Amino acid sequence: MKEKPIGLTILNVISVILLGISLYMSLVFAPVEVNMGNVQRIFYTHVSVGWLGMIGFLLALVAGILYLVTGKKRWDIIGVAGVEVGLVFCFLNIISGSVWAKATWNTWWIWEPRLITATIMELIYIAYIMLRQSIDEPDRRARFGAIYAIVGFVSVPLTFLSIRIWNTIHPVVIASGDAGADTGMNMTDNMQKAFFFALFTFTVIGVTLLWHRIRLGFLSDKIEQLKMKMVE
Amino acid sequence: MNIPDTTDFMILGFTVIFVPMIIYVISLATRYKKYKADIIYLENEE
Amino acid sequence: MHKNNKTSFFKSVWAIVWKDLAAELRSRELMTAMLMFAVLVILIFNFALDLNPNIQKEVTPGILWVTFVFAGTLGLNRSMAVEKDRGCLDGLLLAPVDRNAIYFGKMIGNLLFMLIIEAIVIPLYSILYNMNLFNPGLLLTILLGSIGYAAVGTLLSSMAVHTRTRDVLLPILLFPVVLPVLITAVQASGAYLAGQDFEYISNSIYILITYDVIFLAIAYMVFDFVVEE
Repeated sequence: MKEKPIGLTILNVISVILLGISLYMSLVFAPVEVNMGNVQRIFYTHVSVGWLGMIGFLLALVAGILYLVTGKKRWDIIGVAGVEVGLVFCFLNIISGSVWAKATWNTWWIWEPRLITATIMELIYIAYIMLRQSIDEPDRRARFGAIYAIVGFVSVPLTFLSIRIWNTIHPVVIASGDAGADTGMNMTDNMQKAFFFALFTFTVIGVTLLWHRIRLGFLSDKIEQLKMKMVE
Repeated sequence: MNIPDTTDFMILGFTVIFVPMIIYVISLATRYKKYKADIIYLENEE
Repeated sequence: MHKNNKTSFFKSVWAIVWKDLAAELRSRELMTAMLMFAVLVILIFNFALDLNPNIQKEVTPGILWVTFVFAGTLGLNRSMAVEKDRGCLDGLLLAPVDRNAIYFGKMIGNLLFMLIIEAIVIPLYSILYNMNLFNPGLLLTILLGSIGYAAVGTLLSSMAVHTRTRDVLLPILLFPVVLPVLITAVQASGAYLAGQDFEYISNSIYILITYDVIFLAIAYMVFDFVVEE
């Protein structure tokens, strides 16, 4: 782990610029939604942070499988990074959704499939962190973490599909054909542009943050190794 | 057409997204600095 | 040769199930504890919810499932902890059997314990609350839900015994993973008790079956790594 790679510096700059443009697009470029008013403008970011959270968990799944197959420590470090970033962004997704709910449904929280499954997903990955904290041997910690990341991932597609499996008042964004025609939002052209741009922006931000978090993981691994050496 | 005024909620929504996000970025940076310092310390101890 | 492997696999699974059952038949400590616990949970609900005939019909599926889940957790914790504390797990691992046979043996054992508890609790509940729970659909739902619960519960409990906070950690690991199964099972049970047509319930039943298959498949693939030393 030497100096900061040039690619990461570039990504940092790009992320900030994209975030600026994305904010402009959702605040100014996209028109006001007529039924909900300005609060609908957080939708672009709300969906994007949720998307990023799921990317984090997906990365943890892939890293978990690769760790079990190869036994290489780097996959464990990447898996933890995925879970941590996923947890942070799913949390942002939930609380921003809560604010939106207050504005449109007039309640901070309702027990509705999307919200329930998203909460379950969050709880699973908190349990993942707790599992890791209560195991001392690094190998076993990595192995069990990988297994739990695989088992827990079942909740991610469930969360994604929940609004399609059960009838709910949560809006369906990527509606296929006539499905969800009554609950789906009718996005105008500019809204769609803002939406896809926000998704792209947060994907880039996600890559940047994951990279940072993975570097951090390697550093803390190095510290652990140095400490082990000193004990010997 | 009467568009409801929900600007306050919009501001609140963006706040609850960006404040924790900034806190997370800061936490990444401070952890990074701390680990760097730890490594330098541990390498000198050796 | 291949066929031989298969028969020996089933033989080892059966041997492990039989070992757990025989040990339990002799001591009866686990079943007694689980049963006692289940009855206590129902008793607590009775007073906590002030069960009268009006609301009781609506909350019955919830009460049943919470009872099964809590009693099941007790059983899961115990069944793995016993193996580990008495050093049986090491013995099992040294034995020349497929690791997955150990998983399926323990899983079937845990499932059987749960089913026995359920077979006692359901008639008991029927008598206590004057309610006929012998509905084939309800029993199917309970079977499917219990399979999913035991499948993922056995996998996670075999992980939890190796952690520092083992009995505390198991519910934390298990409950969020198994919650979708539980929610679906409660919905399906309620629908059966309300006498709805299968077309309204089929969705839930398919979700339960899907979950059972997914959990069993994942456990089959990763159990090797849980017991690897």
